Amino acid sequence: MTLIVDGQPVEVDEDGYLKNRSQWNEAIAEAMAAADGIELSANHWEVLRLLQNYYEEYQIAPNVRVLTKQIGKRLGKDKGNSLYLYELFPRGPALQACRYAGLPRPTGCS
Amino acid sequence: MPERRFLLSLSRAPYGHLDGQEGLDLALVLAAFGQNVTVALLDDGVYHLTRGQDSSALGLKPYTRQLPALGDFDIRELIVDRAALQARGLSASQLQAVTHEDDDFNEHDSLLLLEGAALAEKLATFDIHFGF
Repeated sequence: MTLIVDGQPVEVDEDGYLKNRSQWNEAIAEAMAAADGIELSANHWEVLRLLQNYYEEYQIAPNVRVLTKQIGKRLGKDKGNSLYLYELFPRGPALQACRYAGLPRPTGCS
Repeated sequence: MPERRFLLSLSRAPYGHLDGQEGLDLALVLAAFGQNVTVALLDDGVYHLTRGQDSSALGLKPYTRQLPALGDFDIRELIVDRAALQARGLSASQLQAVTHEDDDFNEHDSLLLLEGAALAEKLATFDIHFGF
C-alpha cells in the first residue's frame, strides 16, 4: 500500500504501519491521524515522542500495558491510565500511536 | 489449572541467524499475554548481554537492546550461565544492566548468575522450555 504525503510516496503494510521507519516525518503522522479524523495535539505528540524514544533505546514497540506504565513513569501518573490514552487514541493507544510514530505493530497486539 | 512457567533459553550468539531474535520475540509475546516467563542465556547466548553492540553494518536491528526492557514486560528473571561467561572471558562490567520493578516500584536486579548443578536444577523447574 502507498500513502501520498506532501506529494511523496510512503510505503505502508496492510495495516498501515510504515515499511521503512527512516522515512518517518511529522507530516506523515499528521496525515495518518487526519485520515482517522484526529488532529494531533501536544498531548498526542508527547506520546508519539515517548514511543519513538522507547523504540530507539529498546528496539521494542510497546503494547498498551507497557506503554501505559511508561507514560505514568515519564509523563506523570495523571496520564498513565488507559482512560486518558484511549481519549487521545480511541482505536487503541499502542496500535494507533505506534502507527503514527512510524514504529512497527506493537509486540503482543493482534 | 496452576500457572505454567515458561523458560526461553538462547544458546547461540546474536546476529548470525534469527534464533535469538525469535526467542526474544516469543518471550515478549508470551509476557504481553500475561504468561509467567523467564529468559536464560546459555553457552554462546551469553553474548546477547554484552553492552555497546553495533549491528548497523549488518543491516540488522540491535535487538539485544531488548534485554534491559524485559522488566517492562514483567519478565523479572534473566538467568545467565556464569561458567559460559567465564569461559568467554566476559566480566560483569561488560554486561548490560537488566532490572525490574516490583509491585511497589522498587527496582531490583534481574540477573541470576548460576552454573553447573545449580543451573541445571533451576532450568528443570520450568513447565515449558523453548530452546533457541
